[in-house]
Parts: sequence; structure tokens; C-alpha cells
Amino acid sequence: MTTAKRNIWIGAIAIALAALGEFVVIPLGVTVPSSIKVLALSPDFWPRVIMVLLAGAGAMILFQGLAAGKLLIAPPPVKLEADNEVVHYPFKKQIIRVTAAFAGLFIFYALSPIIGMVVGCMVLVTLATRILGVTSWVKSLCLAVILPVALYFFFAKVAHVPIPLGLFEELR
Amino acid sequence: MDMDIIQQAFQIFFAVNNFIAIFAGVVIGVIVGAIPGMTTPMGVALVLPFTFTMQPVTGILLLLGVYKGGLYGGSITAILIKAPGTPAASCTVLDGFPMAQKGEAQKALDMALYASCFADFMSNLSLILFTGALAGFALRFGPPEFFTLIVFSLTIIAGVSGDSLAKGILSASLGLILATIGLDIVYGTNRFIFGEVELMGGLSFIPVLIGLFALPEILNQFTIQMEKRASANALGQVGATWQDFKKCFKAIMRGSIIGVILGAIPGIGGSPAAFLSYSEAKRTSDHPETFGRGEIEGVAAAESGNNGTAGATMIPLLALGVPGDVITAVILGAFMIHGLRPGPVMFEQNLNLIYAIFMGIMLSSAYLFIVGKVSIKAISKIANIPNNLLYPAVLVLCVYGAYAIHTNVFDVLVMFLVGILGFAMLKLDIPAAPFLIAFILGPLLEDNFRQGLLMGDGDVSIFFRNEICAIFWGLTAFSVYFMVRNHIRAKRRKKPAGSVFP
Repeated sequence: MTTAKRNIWIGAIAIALAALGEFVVIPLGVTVPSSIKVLALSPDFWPRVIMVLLAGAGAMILFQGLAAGKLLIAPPPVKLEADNEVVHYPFKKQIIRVTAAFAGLFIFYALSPIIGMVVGCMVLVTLATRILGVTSWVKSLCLAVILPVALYFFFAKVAHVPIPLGLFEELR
Repeated sequence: MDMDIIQQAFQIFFAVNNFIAIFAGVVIGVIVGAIPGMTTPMGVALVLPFTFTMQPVTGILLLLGVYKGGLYGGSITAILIKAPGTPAASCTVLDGFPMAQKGEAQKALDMALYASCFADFMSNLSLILFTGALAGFALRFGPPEFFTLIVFSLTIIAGVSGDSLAKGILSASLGLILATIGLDIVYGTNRFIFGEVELMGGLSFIPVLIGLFALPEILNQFTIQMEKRASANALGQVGATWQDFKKCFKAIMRGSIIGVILGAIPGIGGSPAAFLSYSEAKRTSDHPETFGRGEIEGVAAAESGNNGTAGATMIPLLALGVPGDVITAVILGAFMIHGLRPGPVMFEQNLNLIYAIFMGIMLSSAYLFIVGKVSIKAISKIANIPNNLLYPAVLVLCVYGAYAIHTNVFDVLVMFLVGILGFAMLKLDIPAAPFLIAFILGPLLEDNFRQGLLMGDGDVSIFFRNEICAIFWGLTAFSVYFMVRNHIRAKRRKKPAGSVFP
């Protein structure tokens, strides 16, 4: 996607979000007392101002995108640093990998009350290192075990923050 | 000056924990700054949860150590592998990397360190000298004056918006709207709570911060197939000498002053200071043609400009309660977590804490020198930790950090959600810094606006009630004019040949 096209999308989405906020989310989500005498003191005044700001920013980005697209201004050539190069996966593969990462985070969140944060982090780190291309199981597992346990001891024993252990609560 | 307060400050400061905290902060900062892809705000965000159980001064000094270390650390990889660890260090690349290619990496690193420490020291002195006077002036401020000051401070968003001002405003709008979640401050009614009790107190600062700065970088790693980093140049045997320092002293002094002035103005930050200092050194040099080809004065100028901002960005924070850049915005959040509110009132009520922080800041310059001198070799090796091990480790820090503040798993969810938003912003080139600044300043802005209106019985003319308000409105107009003009100019400069525009 060209920068111009992307900006058109960003601008349009921002305007749509602002409209959604102004006409749906604020009326539903902000309780306004009936005794308001000064409009600017109302609890929904500030959110509405922000929605106008969001719509304004969206309109500016949309206009920039449209103007750039109309004038057929080519995006500046991408200059790669010869010495420090980053190669991304093809777009579809990126989507799949990032979606898997999102899913992993939410599964961790859902399971952490059951298996606890320490074991959850161990699983998360093992999976993350493997997906990110660490081929050595020893390295993956060492990191996965040592770091969550070390942080557990710091927070639980030094900072006295109770870290949830779920099924392993008896080990505390 | 009340001697009792200074004595109290000494008592607060002279604790082993403070000395360890500053040292640890500087070491962590240098390491974080030296790792390409890790940013100083990310480092500060990850360290912040560890400060909850510390005394306020100890916690703040730890964060300041990370800040100062991070500013210098960025120069290590800039010089050795042409990969600046921080945006401000990109100026150091210009002469630092050519020096490394010539086998003078050690010399460049030494000069970067000397210039950084000297500029940092100058910046700290300016902080100590000017903050009290500014805070004394700010004692005259009421809600209307603070409202206009925060409006002016929000124009710093322009300075952290990158290429697109509109995207910066978009990002700030998102931050402002998230900051409105919770109970209304005047009427106590619900705002965007939707029956979720966890949202009544609003979104916590730490999960938002970590989600915004650390998680997107982790998620971004999943899109990268291969990252080739240049191999580091050898350090070389010869370091910078006293003669080299004397030769560069003028550039260092000039860079320090530029850094202090630009650092004290909210929103400008280290990068412009480094580039301005560099261009001034080049302009006034007898041999400008050597700049960009491994000129040691270029390294000194860039690093002194960059580090000269470190203490100065704390001036508006401590005196007025408004952050000078993203990192001081994070530090403002840290003050709030510890129940402190920087600004004139803190000067009245907690002057001993401020003096203790001043003492710690001065010590941080010395630590920076020691850490830089002793550990450059080791730190340059740590910077080579592969990303596929580094980022999963950072993920664990994120999870524990987000959870620890309120021992609430809901905060972990908030961190994940903000992280996904931050990742989308990263991919769409929408800067994250305006989001954070707006998230922090938004409630202060609204609070002072509504308090001002209550004072004036709903009459908005209260926001123009005196010369202080007028000055801040004038500064805001001036700042908006310049940022729009600069963005238009920058856009025109970027237009490729063949464009219909001149």
C-alpha cells in the first residue's frame, strides 16, 4: 500500500472513530447529571472536544493522502542502510505471525489465574523464543525458567508483591 | 536557604540504597541505550515497576540514572556499528563511525564519554540554579494559569510527532480520550466505564506506558524474518587524550549551552540539540571539510548537545510540573505514583526531597563517567544479544511490571490491549510519544480547565485574567505558528524531483 493510500485509510478511520465516539460511545458511556448549568463543566464536554480534535486530525491526514494521491507524488525511495538491514516476512505471513502472538497474549491472560503467572511466563517465553527463531532448546528453556523465577523471587520476596501461582499456590 | 532543609536533604540522600540505585540506573540506561531497537523510554518503563517499593527519592534517582545512561549509551553502537541506540545519537554516527572505521573507535568512545559527562554536569548545574527561581514565580499560578501553561506544554507534541504533525495530533487525541476513562472529577459520574469496576479509577499509567513503548517492539519482532547487524569495529588501542579534550573544549562548551537552552524548552529534546551543536561546531571550525569524515570535534559537539539536555528537561518538570520530553513525562508519572506532584507546591512542601534529587543528579554525572570508562568493552558486547532472546525476556518484564503496580491481572490485559494499539500505530507510522504525553497531561488540563471555570462561574474570560495567562497564550500561538511553518517547510524539502510543487 502506498503512503497516500494508507493515509487516506488512517484519516477515514479516525473520522469514523470520532463520529462513533461523538454519536454512540459518549451518549452511551458518559453519565451527564441533569443539574448542569454550564455546558463546559459537563462530564461529556471534554470527551466531545477530544472527538472534534480526533476528527480534525483525521481530516488533515485524509486531505494529505488525497492530495498526495491526486498529484501522483511518488513516495521517497526507501534507502536501506547497507550495514544494518532488516528483512520482513511477506505481508500475509506477518499477519499470521502477529495474530498468533496476539492470541498467545490473550491465552496467557486467560490461563494465568489457573496456571499462575510464573508458569504462564515460562510457556510464553518458550513459545516466543521458538517462534522468533531460537533453535537451541537449551537456550529457550534456560531463559524461560530462570527469568520468570528470578523475577518471582524479586517481586514476591523483596518487594512483597504477591505474584499469583494458580495451581502451584502451595509452593509459595 | 534554610539549613535545616539542606540537612534533611543530606539525610535523605546519604543512604546506601540511593547510591546503588543511581549506579544501577546508569548501568541499565547505558545497556538499554546501546542496544539498537531498545529505546530509553522503554528502559525507563521497564524499570519503573521496580521502584514501587522504594523510597520516592531512590525510585526517582534510579529512573534518572536510566535516563542519563540511556542518552550516552546510544552513542556506543552509533560509533561501533553505525546503529544509533537512540535517535539523538544519530548525529554521533556522522563522525563516530568513520573514526571507528579508521581504527579510532576507542578515541571516539572516550570523547563521546567526556563530552557527555561534561555536558551532563553543566545541565545539572543549570537545573539546580534555575529551577527554584522558576518555581517561585509559578507560586502565583492558579488553575487558569496552569491551564494555559498546560495548553502551551501540549505544543511539545509537535516536537515528538516525527514527520507528520497531523498523526501526532491523532495520537494525542487517542491518549486524551483514554485518559478520560473513569469517574468524572467534578460530578463523580461514570465515563466510559460500561459496568467494569476495574475502570472506575481510570487506566493505570504503567500498563499504558509499557504497552505503548515496549510491547509494540516485541510484537514487531514477529514480523521480522532476518535482521543483519553490522559487525562491530575493533575498539583500537589509543583513547582520547587531554590534548584531544582541550582541542574539543570549545565545541563541548557550546554544545552544553545549546543542550541546556533547548532542553529547557518543552518538546525539543536531544536530537535537535545534537544536530544544532554539530552544525555550529562545523560552521565555526577552521577545517569544516573534515566533519563527516571522522572528526573528533564532531563527536564531541554531537554528544555534548545531546547530553546537555538531560538535566535541563527536568527544569520545567520540577519547577512547573510539566514534562520537557517523553522520558520526563514518564518520570512525572513516577512522581505521581509515589504520591508527589512536581511543581511549585512541591518546592513549598517537599523541598528536602528536591534537594536530595539534586544531589543524586550530580552524582549520576560521576557515575556515568565511571561506568563509561570501565565498561565500554563489556557493554558493547551486551549490545550483541540476539533479539530473539532479548525480546521474549522483555515480554516477561512487561508482564510482571504491569501486574506489580496494583497486583491486578486486569492491568496485564490493559497492557496487552494498549500494546496492540501501539503496534498498529508503529506500523502506520503514528508516533507513540504524543499519546503518552497527552495521556499524562490530559487529566491535568481538564482538571485545571474545570476548576478555572468553577472559579469564574462558567465565564471563560478567567483564562485571560492576567499577564501570565496572556504570555502563555502568546507562547502557544507562537509555538503553533512555528511548528506548522516548520512542518510545511520540512514537507517541501522532502518533495521528490518532478513534483508539481516547487
